[in-house]
Amino acid sequence: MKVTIKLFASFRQGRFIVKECEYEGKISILQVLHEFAIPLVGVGVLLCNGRHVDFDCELVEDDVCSIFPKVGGG
Amino acid sequence: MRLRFNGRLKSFFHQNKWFNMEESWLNSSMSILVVDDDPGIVDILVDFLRELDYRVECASNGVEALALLAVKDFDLMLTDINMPVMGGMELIKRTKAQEKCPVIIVITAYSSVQSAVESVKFGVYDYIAKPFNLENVSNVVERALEKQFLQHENVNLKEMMALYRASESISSQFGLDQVVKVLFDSAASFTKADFMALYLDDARNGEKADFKLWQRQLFCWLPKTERYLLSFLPKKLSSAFAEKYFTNYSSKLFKVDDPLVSSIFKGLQKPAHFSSMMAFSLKERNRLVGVLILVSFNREVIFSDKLRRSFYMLVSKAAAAIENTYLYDNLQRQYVETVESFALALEAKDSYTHGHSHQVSLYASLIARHLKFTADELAALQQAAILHDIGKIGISETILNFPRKLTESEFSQVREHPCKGRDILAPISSLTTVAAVVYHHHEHWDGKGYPDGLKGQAIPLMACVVGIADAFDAMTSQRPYRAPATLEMAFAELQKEAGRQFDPDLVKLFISQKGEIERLMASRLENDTSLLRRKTDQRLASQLQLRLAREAVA
Repeated sequence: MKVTIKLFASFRQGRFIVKECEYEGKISILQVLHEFAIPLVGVGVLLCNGRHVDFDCELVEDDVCSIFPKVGGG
Repeated sequence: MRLRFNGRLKSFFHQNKWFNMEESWLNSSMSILVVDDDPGIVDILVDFLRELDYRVECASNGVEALALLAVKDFDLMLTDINMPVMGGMELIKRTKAQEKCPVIIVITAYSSVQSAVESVKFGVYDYIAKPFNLENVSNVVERALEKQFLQHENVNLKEMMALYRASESISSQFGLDQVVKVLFDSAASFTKADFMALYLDDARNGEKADFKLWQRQLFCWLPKTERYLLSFLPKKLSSAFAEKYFTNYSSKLFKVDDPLVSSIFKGLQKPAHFSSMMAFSLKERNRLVGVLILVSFNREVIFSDKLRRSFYMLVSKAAAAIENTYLYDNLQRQYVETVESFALALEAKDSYTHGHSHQVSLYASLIARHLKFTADELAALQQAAILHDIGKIGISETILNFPRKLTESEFSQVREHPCKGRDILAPISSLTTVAAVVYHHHEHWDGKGYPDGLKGQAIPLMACVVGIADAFDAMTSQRPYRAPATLEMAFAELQKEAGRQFDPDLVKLFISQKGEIERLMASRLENDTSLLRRKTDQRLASQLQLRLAREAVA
């Protein structure tokens, strides 16, 4: 099963911007975050194919998963 | 949530196929402008909103944002308040002053929430406080866009309603002048065009389309240097030009750089204020009715494709209305021709009354000229004058052409002709007035006439008019049993009978126009002699043929 993972802002540091990943069997976003060592508390928004989803959303073939950190600024 | 909104848009599409599908905000995803001097914020907002399938552009201050707004339409603008060069407040004020204004959301730090609240006074939709949470951003953006969508829809609906009303008004107009006036008025108010020209195919000239400039109008005031447009545009946009270039499509928009526009201005200095041009061909039942051309000389009024499409609705209504007036004219004309052929059929029976109906209608019109008749009344009077003896169709030719005074029983037959005339015309509903005049044209002022024996004012005015005209022409024309009376003799007879057979006021009115009457009599005499000559020629020719045939047999 092929899915695309997109990282944004600070999550890109030391990782990647877009990556196509191969998985066998079911996989949830939580597992993906774990794989790339992204801290759960730092996650702001999760999108799957442009829709808001939760950590436990299971990915299927050709999904595009976007992961945004919490944003500060002033 | 985004998907839900998308879904609604889609179902809107399907239900409203007639609606403007190419409208930018419906056709593709909505567009957002992000303005902030912090590249980190801009980056994440742009990335995030793009992930949500919006078209996103960014600027780092007010000046850059205004430059983008000038060339592109945005549905929504997210802007910071504190920025270098030009701050958010100034940007908001300037954006609000523009005609096409996106819905605005302010992003601001907690420290300047007060100014964000203030900005709401300038018509800002909402604000997002920094540090923000992206989910909140998507909620606010979605709500704002929904508002923008409804606003667009509302504006469109209002435009459509106004156009619909105008087109209804066009359909209810009667007469070419009225239809064209309403078309021009609505074109001026909807398109803000400065110059309009309407070329109509003159349908009366048979098969071939014959374009004529029907009307043109200049709505704007042009500076002196451009006044020459007045004299040159009609020449360039001539009928032949209109027919050649504008009849191949139903409607078309021409931008400044269009080759056709360039060819119009070829050899001339292009006016600085020329901005755009639209052409519509008016079609009804596959027949080309005409061409309408609208030109704008105002750089701020540039015709859009959307405008072209909505206005086409009105133009097609106008085409139908114009075609209707043509059809109605046609109907009227054919009808009048039928009426006249009735009268001709009648006169064919009786050579002595040839031209009588026509002459009566001329005399009647002469009297009517001083009676303040409306155009419709005058037309009815003329028809009645032409048809007044139509009832004689039902009377034997031997009686009508009898070369001596009639017996009592024969005369009673002749007296039936007004009644028969009315019966002949009765089935034609539009001839009610005419039938009444035909019925009463032998009534006498003193009540001794026929068929009803009406008296004085009770007799329809038109019937009195026809009565005088009829009597005068009968007296002054040749009859089998007597020579024609002279003008003076006929006038004396009319004066003698004024108050008895005729309305005395009308007799005075008639006699006062002696000069005109003499002219009409003279032209009739001329016609009669030429006719007589033709008849004599025919008789001589047939006698000659007969003699030749006899000699051939011998």
